Formats: sequence, C-alpha cells, structure tokens
Amino acid sequence: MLANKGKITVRQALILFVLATFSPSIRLFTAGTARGAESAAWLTPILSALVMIVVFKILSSIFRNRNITNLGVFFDRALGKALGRTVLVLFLLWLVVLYFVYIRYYTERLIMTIFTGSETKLFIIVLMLLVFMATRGKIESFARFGEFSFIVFTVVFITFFLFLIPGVRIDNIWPVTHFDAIPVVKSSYNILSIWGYVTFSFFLGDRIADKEKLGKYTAKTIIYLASIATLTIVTVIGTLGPSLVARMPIPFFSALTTISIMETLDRLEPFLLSTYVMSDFIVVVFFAQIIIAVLKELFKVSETRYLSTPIAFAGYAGSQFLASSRFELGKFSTVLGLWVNVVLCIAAPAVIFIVGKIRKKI
Amino acid sequence: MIELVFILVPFFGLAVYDMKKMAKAKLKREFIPYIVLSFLALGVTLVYILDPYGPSLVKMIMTLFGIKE
Repeated sequence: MLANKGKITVRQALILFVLATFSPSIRLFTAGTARGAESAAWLTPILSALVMIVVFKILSSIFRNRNITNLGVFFDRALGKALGRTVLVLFLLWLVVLYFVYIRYYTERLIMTIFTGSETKLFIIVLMLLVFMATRGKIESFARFGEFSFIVFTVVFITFFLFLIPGVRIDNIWPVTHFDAIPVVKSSYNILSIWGYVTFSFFLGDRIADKEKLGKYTAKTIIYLASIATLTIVTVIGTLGPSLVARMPIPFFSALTTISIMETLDRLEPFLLSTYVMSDFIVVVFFAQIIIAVLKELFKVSETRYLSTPIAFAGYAGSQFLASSRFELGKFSTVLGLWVNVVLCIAAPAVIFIVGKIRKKI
Repeated sequence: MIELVFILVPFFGLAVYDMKKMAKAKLKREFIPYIVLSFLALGVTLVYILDPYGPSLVKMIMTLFGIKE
C-alpha cells in the first residue's frame, strides 16, 4: 500500500499509459503500418521498441533525481525558466488538441460502427459527465480502475488473437526481405507517435510516488506493448491482407467479423466495441488529468480538482469545433498529428535532456 | 441558440458553486487556472455554436503549418 496519500505508483502510471495507447493503436497501427510497410508491417513494433528503450532510459535518468518532480520542472531546470515555461505552454496547447481529438474519435467510432447516423452530442455529454467525475475524484481510484481494466483488456485481446490466428495467411505477412527495411523504418512513426505518450505521463510526476523506480518497469512495459502491437498487426494483416487493411478505417473491427468458431460463436464485435469505449474513456481522462497537472505546474497551485468543471465543458464544445468531418480529422491525424507527437514525445525530451546535460543542470 | 443556453446555464451554475468553495477554502491562486480554462471552454463553445459551419480548429492548425487540403 502507498504511504503517500493522493499519489499513485509508477507501475499504475505505466498501466494508465498502456491503456491510453489501446484506443489509438487499434485504429492506427494496422492501417498505418500496412500502408507503408505492407507485409513487413509486423516488424515495425520491434523497431519502435528499440527506440522506446532509449526514451525510457532518458525518462529514467531524469527522474532518478528526486528534485525533479515532473516534466515541467525538468524543462525549467534544463532550459531555464523562460524557455522552459514556453515549452510547457506548447505542450499544454498540444495536449488540449489531443484531448479534443480523442473525444471526437470516440463519437466517430460509435457512429461508424453501431450507431450509424446518430446524433453525436448525447455520446459526448455522457463521456464528459464521466470525465467530470473522474477528474474531480481521486487519482488513486482512477489508477485502480486502470489496473482492473488492464486485466480485462489483456484477456479480451488475447482471446481475440487466439480466435484470429487460425485465419492468418502466411503469404500476407511473408516473405520479408532486406528491401522492406526502409519502409519499416518509415512506418514506425505510426507506432512511436502513440507509444511516445509515456512522456506525457510524467507531467503527472507530482502524483507518482516512486518515479525513480521507472527503470525497473522499462523491460516489462516495452515487451508488453511490442507483443500486443505485433500480435494485432500479424492477426489483422494476416487475416485481411495488407492492401485491404491499408484502405480500412478500423481494420481490427473488420477482422473480428471474420471470426466464426465451429459455426456457433461469431459476431464478437460488441466485445471489441465495449472494450474500445472503455479505452476511450481512459485515454480522455488520462489527457484531462495531464492537462490539469500541467496547469498545476504552470500556475504553481496546490488544489486542482475544481478544474474538472471547465475541462469537461471545454471537451464538449472543443471536440465538435475540432473538425467538420471524420475525413478532416483523419487527415489531420496522419498528416500532422502523428508527427507532432513524435517531435514532442520522442525528440523534444531527448534534445532537452542533452541541453540540460551540456548546461550541467540535470 | 438553445444549445448555447443548455451549455451556459449549467456551466455558470457549476462555476459559481466551485468559486464559492474555492473562496471558502481560501484558494486564491487556484482562481487563475480556473479562469484560464473557463475562457477556453467559453471561447470554443461560442465559436462553435455561433458559427457551426465556420472553419474548424483542425483547418486552422493545418493552415498555420502551411498544409493545404
């Protein structure tokens, strides 16, 4: 049990990060990597895992210093107060955009799958009420909900993989030659842009009790992420083929429709959809909590639970104001969003860390 | 416009309730991020509801980065 009230463990923080990656990874990993790397797409998580080892190493080095309580403090230390605050504001603006993006994707997914042609507003209101309650409540409760959800998600996904594996056609994922190396490298940004959210998790640093133990969980987290991503890509591209997957909005959903066990067990999509909605709730609350944490650091305040009211209302209108259509949103994600994620979550911490080391402030 | 009323009435109601609680707990500094975030919420609400077919946030960001549709 934690001695520190109002804090979570680094293990719980990493579980929340892993859960936050579920929703975008289902949507993005298969189609995104199939578009670039085709049948070699399943190699992209392995390459991305290598990059993530470096990211985890950097984060682990930063938080070994007990005086650095969160990423905002790290920016101040490494870059100086003025530049550190500017970088923090840039991160805040992008976090707000991502918060709107995930609320919008949640409604778009429901409309695309089971509530075709329905009005989106009611779905957003329901989600915002949950976000309001989750951000006003204790972060420990949200983390415990995350631990429970993590077990559910893992069991559900392993079951899906087991059902999908018999339908995998080897010629959809093999052969892989040295000519695939460049496409694999180019496509790995799809995965890194989502796994990079681990950096955002450490804006919650004030609320993580044992940050210095991050190194202990590095291997477990990366192996888990890489295994789930590889299995997702192998089963979906293996079942449907890379050219078809590259053109689909939610290939995992389509792959599940092909499951039929002994002509009795089929139509498993509602199970995916319910886990999907749960994952959307987690990713939206995750970003709301991080935005609140950044504001706390920026304005140096002690109490933040009251911010749940404006953040829920901002989410309602912001998600609708974000994009005029699903296509506009999709284009924004692929053309700009993923790259900004890579720059802010992977490149920026590394560059700032090096600057901090050169200035001998870290 | 009805939607605007349905959003603004509960928003102002909750904001007044929160601010009373914050004032009671003598949380003066906490008013600043609350007001900043409230302005963001009000800003996006007004822009979206008063001109729902106007340019979206995504379009504005893409234009800022020089990306054409």
